[in-house]
Amino acid sequence: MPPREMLGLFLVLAVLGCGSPSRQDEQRPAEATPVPVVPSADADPDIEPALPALVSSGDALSDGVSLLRRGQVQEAIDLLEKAREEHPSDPAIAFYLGRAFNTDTKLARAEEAYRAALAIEPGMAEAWLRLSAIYVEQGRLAEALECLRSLGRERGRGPNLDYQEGFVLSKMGRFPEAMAMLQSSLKARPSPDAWYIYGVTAQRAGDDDQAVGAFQRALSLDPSYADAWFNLGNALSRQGRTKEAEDALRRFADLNVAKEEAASLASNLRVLRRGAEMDLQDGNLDRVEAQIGEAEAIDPGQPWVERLRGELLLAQGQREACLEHLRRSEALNARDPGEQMALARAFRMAGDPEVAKRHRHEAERLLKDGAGGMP
Amino acid sequence: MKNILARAAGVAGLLMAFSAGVMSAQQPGPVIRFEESAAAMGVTFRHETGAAGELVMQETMGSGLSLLDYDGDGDLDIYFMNSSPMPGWKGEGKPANVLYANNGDGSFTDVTAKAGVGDTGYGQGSTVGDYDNDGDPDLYVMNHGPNILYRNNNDGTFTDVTAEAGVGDPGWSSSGVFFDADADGDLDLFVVNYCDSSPENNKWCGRKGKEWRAYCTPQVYTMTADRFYRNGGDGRFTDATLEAGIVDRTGKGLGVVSFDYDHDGDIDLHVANDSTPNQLWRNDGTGHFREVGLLVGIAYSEDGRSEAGMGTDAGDYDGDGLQDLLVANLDYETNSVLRNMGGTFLHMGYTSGIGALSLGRVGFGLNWLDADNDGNLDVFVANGHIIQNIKMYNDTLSYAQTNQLFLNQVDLTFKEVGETSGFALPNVARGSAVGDLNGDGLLDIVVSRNGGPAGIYMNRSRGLGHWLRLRLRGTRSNRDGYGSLLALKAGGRVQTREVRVTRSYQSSSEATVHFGLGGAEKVDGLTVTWLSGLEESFEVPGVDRVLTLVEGKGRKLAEKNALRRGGPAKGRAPIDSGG
Repeated sequence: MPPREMLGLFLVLAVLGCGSPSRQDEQRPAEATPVPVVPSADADPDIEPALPALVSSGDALSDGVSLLRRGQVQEAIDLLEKAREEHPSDPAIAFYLGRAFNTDTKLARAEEAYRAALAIEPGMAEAWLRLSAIYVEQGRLAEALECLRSLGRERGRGPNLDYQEGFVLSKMGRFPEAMAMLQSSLKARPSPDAWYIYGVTAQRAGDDDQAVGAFQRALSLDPSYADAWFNLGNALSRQGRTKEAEDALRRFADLNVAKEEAASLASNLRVLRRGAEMDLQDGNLDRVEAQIGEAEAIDPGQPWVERLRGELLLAQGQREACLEHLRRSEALNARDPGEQMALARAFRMAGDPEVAKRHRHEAERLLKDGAGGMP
Repeated sequence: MKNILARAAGVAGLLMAFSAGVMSAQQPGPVIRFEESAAAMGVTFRHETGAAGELVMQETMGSGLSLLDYDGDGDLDIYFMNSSPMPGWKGEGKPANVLYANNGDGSFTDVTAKAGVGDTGYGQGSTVGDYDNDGDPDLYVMNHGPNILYRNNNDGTFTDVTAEAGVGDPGWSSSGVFFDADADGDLDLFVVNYCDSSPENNKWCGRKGKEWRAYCTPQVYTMTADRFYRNGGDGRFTDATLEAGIVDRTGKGLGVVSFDYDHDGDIDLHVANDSTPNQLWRNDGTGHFREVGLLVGIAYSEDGRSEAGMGTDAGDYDGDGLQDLLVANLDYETNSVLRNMGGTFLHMGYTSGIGALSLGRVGFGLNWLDADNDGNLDVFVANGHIIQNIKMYNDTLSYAQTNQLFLNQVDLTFKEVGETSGFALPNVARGSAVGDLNGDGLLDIVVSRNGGPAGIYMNRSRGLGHWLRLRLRGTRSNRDGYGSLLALKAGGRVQTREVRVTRSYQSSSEATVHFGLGGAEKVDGLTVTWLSGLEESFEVPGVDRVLTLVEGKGRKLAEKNALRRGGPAKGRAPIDSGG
């Protein structure tokens, strides 16, 4: 799955507090995190919007989904598991339990829950697609393909499903079938992603002429498609068209390097923040100071830096200085509900419960608006 | 570019015919079987991480091993790297590197103390090369901390000559390679350095909550530059990194392999970097380099992402005479199979069948090897996660993982047979090396395991084909013929190998070149192109034996300009790959 394409759903999952191994947390830029999530079925005109309605089992289900949206994944799992015990034949509960496990990277349990949902309601398109994505992620390509074919049998075919099948068949090395599926998808609905995968498939099959043409078609639809520039450059290079290859790879580098650097900096800041918070808990104040300093060197405008500096000062017995930094943090107006909650806690510890309350409310408002995840 | 499937069909057709002959001669067919034999052979080495609970990165990244005939008795000895205590370590004794001498009877003896190679630094990788051309293999040891060069005294002992040689890189070195960059007849040294993580600047990584703490990734640390040492031929090296054009400001290196990727007769370098683009340093023939990784297609994954490059190896798996690359990566990344298309590379991870089967594993060591002596290069991958509590993060992953053996199907795909061929037990493997430990003509595999016992997988397969093993003795070229190109014709086809020992992860394999011959009972032709430029053919009196090829003792075919420093590079003769 082209990472660019994953980005949309990845962001949704991130809002839901998608858990992934820390190595990926820290190392991989979000868009590069290889979570091969298939597009939502409702993007396909041939498949009706398929997310289960939050009705059948009442409050438990809606509360579980609400918790999931807030990033309280474990709480959501607990609630949905209980609801599933009470309503074992409700496919929506099973599906959202699968979503919760999926978000928590408990993929084996997510698989089981999606399977359970599909056993009750075989036409649940979103469950087939997410199950397929789990299999792709694990390299279980035959199973992924079978999910997509089951979906086709249940709900009929369309360009999105053809695209998905082409994508999986290409990974399986079944190039002629993959290209036929992708052609079918492109005929009904040309898209840069389908052209891109068509190009990758042609390239894997050793047909660089077709690959170059397909990448160029993808880029004509989306000139900012970094992956397509990259693969176009490589294909041209193999063809000995060095100058053109260099131009394409330069375009790729321009698009890619800044993105990788930004991701790297963001990753560093996350680690420093977490490390400083843990060290503050443990009373390692020198290390807190060092990490705050490092973060300031990367980006001095971080609300959490001021907040942690305040908490550090409080730990050193300097309440007034602490409040000054907390107010600076406040002025930076974090849009992250988790940071607002942390600020509330800091003000409370510093003896200002009124301001703490204000930040709690702000955190709740942000959560209601769908921003960020809980700490 | 021609359609690779069409090219493959030609190769495959030839090889299928060849294989059919093998099969008919060997009914009921070969049985591929490796047996874990370390303890039975007296190899009790156990790697200690020295960990004390602070999760400092280096604890989880090591270590490697080397196979070498240190005492010149004709069989392979084993040198294992070990770590050292982190502050607060509760273990007993002091971990040290260990050298085992092969007794020639299936057993090994610890000779570390006598040999004087029991370094107690924080060990990572090691490599082997006869840098002083005196006929015995020397050892270069890479640490988190100063590296060490041990000169072999040719009497079963070594001397630490780091200071006089000037190769004591003080950083975190992971892998290194001896190779003759300028073809002047002595081995130069390239050292791959990783990042500046240390106990002093250790960071807290993982999710909130102490039980979720995990090892950090290299992204939160600063890279440290690789280093190139030019051999002066007098026992001393010069740090020639910048002079040689190796201006590396990005790479967080873990693995390296030297090979002639563009078939121009000089030795280039592929560096596997973790979280930063991999690099291909193209040699201009004079020991000066230019980085061309992006242009030739090896820098990134198939979709343009930096991956977690660990180990790497080069070999000609498709029989076209060009050296292809393997790179081990993290889980959720595919291990890379990079097919050399003539100076550029094509990602074959998914096409080969190896990619999908690597998604759930963290690969470290990996090797091309002809495990079944059929004349085609197979793939071994040493796996094991970095994070002990990975299951808390993802319930489909595990810390200990099974190693994998992929057999070459001769159609550009591979079939995984690890589970059924002796690799069913999960482990936390890091380095791997390949060699024939017991002289039976079958390649054995040795692995080092992070915080665990070493593994020796003895190849006990039955019904395999013939073989030929070749040792090179350079007279004008470097003594062990590193970088030489061998082309062997047998059974109606040509196989090519380059002589190299540094491959995989932090490890060094045997210097002897191994050819599986399948059903072929004679060799129809053997040529060696030495780095000196001399191309000569050798008579092969029979198969299933070990031969020593001495430079200048064959039948001279051509004398190309040697790759003298400052002189123009001349290409090697095209390889007759048509059979």
